[in-house]
Amino acid sequence: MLSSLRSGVQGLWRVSSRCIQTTSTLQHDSLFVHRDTPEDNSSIPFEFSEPNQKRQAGGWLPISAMHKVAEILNLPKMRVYEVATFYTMFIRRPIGKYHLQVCTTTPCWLRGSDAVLQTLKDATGCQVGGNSPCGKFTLSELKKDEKPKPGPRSGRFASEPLGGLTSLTEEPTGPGFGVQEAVLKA
Amino acid sequence: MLKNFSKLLKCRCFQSTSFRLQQQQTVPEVEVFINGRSVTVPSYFTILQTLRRERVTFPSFCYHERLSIAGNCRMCLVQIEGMAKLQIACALNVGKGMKIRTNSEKTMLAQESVLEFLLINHPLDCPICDQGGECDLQDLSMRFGNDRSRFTDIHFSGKRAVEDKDLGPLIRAEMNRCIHCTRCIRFSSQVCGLDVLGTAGRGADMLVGTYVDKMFLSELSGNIIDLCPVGALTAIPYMFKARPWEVRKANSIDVTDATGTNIVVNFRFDRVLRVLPREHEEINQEWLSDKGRWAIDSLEMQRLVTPMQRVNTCLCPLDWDSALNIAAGLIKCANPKNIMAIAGPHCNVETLVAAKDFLNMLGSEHTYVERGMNYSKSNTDLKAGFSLNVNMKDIVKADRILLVGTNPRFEAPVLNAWIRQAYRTNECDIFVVGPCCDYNYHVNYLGADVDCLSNAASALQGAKRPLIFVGISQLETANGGPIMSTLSKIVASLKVGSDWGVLNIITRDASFAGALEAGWKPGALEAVEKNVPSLVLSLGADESFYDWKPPAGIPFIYIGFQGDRSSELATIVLPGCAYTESGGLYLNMEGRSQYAMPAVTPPGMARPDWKIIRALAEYSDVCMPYKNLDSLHSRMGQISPNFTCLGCYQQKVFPDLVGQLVTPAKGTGCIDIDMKTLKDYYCSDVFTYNSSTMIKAQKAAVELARSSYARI
Amino acid sequence: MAGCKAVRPLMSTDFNEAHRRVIGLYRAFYRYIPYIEYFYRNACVTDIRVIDMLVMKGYMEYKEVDHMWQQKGHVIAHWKPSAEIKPQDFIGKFLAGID
Repeated sequence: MLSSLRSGVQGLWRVSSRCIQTTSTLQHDSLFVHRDTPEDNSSIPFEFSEPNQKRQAGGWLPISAMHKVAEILNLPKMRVYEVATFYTMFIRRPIGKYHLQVCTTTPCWLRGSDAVLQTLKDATGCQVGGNSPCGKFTLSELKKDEKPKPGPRSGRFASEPLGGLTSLTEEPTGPGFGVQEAVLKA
Repeated sequence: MLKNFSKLLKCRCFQSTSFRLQQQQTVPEVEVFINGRSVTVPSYFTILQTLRRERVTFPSFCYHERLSIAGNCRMCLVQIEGMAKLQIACALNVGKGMKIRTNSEKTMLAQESVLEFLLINHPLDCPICDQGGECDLQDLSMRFGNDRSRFTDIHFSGKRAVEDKDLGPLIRAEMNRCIHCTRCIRFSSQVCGLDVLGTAGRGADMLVGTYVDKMFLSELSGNIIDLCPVGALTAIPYMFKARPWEVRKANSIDVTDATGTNIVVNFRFDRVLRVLPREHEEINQEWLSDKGRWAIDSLEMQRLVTPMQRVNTCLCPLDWDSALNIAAGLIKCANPKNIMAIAGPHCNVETLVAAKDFLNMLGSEHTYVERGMNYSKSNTDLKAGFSLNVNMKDIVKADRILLVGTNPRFEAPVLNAWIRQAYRTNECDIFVVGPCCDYNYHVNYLGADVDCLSNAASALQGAKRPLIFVGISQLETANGGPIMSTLSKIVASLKVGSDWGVLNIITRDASFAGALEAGWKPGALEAVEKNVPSLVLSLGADESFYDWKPPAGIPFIYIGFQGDRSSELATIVLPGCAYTESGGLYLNMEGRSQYAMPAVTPPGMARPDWKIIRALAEYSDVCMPYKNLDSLHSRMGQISPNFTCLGCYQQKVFPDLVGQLVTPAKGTGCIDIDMKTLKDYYCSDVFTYNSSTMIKAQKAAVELARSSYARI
Repeated sequence: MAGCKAVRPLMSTDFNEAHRRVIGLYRAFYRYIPYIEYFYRNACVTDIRVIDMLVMKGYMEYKEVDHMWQQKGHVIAHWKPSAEIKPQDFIGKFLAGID
């Protein structure tokens, strides 16, 4: 009882003081440092050969490919790393043949993206940002690129009631409405 | 002498202002208003430059006057009347009649908000942060920030956490503290020429680092610590040692190379804790080489703290009186004509003058520096023959540079920064005669053979401001003469103004120019081989004694601060001072004399070197005409006015005579350089290989070279 | 007198002898006065103005000692100077390590 009162008071206090609203920060699902792995390290040679050009080295960007690009463009490697990490669609880890991407931004989340994500997780055995045990699937979160129409999807324009206006429905009255006649005359 | 110095400083300030005035007249000026006050500035100025010039306190993090403009910290947001939004002062050019409001509510609110955003993700670990007390973020928060925090970590999700980078044994990277100003990135790419650092990721995920597992090692790497406005990059050797308000400071001169880099020695009680660069627009800008910064732990290694005498194979401690008596006895017994003094690389001019006077009074003319140089008949009479003949700041104007048997990147890192600046900003082409080395600019190799010098003529032809740099180590070899005669012919064929010194020599030792100016002769090793000395007096010289050991029975007196080869062989060891303890006058490779202030007191019974010589003279019944620093400085002024004319660059006379007096000979073989890569840089002489920090750095450089990500 | 114990005398056997000894000590002090270093140290001074000045300073000292304005250390310092004289010549300074 007391504790609930206390939390209520705290809640009030929080609202009244100037708090920066914090949410847990959403981190990107991939790392922004390179770690040498057996599949991805600088000693694996890379060439822009026929199969590599067709399917972009298996759909992902190995570090040796970045080095090759740096070599061709005569750039410092760091400048290539910067580009490869800046753009989120450069995938810098081995991925499966089928890359499943689920939009989890607020509109999609409200429409049930969590359930979709969970189903995909169960079906493929992937974790978000990981590969399935069979190596065929990769699951990742993304932000939808299409620009949504502004406003709610319910047909409303802004914050008006869903079933039409409930007040202020009649014509606005003119000046002098409800004023005593004596005052008007004066 | 110090009075002279301050007078000179004033004089230089005046010159620079008049120079600025002249410059202003040539470029169009615009009038802007700072908070209603009218100010006229050159049209190329940015708003931040204007504010800085007018001494308006204005915050910024990413802006640095020697680096390119990034404009990513948003700290310098400023209101400009007529512009709807706030602008960043560092990246906006001044416009005609611009009305800048630095104290408006909008500006101040923006500054407060930017700081608030920065502090959301900045750890509150000031008490354990090495930057505390000299941190821009602290200072600006105090001056421009809000006085209370709105940051409440309701969900205890914590602040941004970033894994630390391993940048090597010198620089500690605590990346949580990073505010992404990218100064380190710009410095490493623009000044160091190593594109090792960069930003990975974007937005909230952005990291400053190397992306791959790789160290950041460079001969100028320490400067990123000074550049870092927060505690993200701090010095490992200085880690948790002191706070900036505890240390005392002494303005000094770096002696680990011959550039005469201006430094500030930070010390507390009797320990030198760190060395920071001091600004000098004509020499080091505000950079300092890693050796100068971190070889200071060598000052505490193998120190000689008491006079010692050799008894059989041991050195036994003595008191000064008996040590001086024994030493004087040895001097009196020796044939005075053949007493020889050899000066080491760290001797100040006071010591050199006192030692030479002493030997001359005894009747000996044998005063030598370790490094040899015998390409010319004029030997050391012409200053142009052994020094840099161009003002270091003018290197940036060069349009073509030829390096002959030198890698200035490691021999004179601060000078190399000027060369790199010429390369970057003046499109300077650089040619090299010598072996393949690590340069931090693109070079065209003309071959490593001496004969390849003939190709250099065509390379330099047509240049308006060409420069030739010759490594001093080339002039020690038999190829010195041929190299210099060929180069002199090339210089004579070039059409350049007489005030532009084309042919320059890069020296390596801080004492070299001072010694030659004081009348010492180069080539100690050759001299000892020509005639056997009756007594050897070593003034901190160690390197030569790895190649030459005095024959048994020849007394050997060592005056120096570090126990190395010389003290191993010495009959009598008299403990001297290092540059941080005695200070003194040093001439850099341009021949510019600069005074280093003493910082700490000498350890144990060590005494300033020139005083030891003065005392030794008195014990040997030689009366020297000076007994304190003032009278010694007067004596130095008699020897050369350059010794008392501090701080200025002096034009060398008769540079063309150097070529005419070269000993003609036919050169053969290849030119070699001893410091080719970074591995060779850190431990290149006795002083630096006694430094444990430098040894760690060298190991790291070897490790980095082996790494698969070593190539940039 | 009951309870009084007869003891061996230290030096004097009666009051008169003790009185003589006191007078003797007083005289000894009195005779020593010319030998106080200050008088002999300034014996060579012939300038009357300087002598007068020294006399005045002497009276000041005397009064300060008399009224116990000078403390123990000050009084002792009249007999034994505590500061060692620092070397002035180059070698002396060098050996002592003083700049």
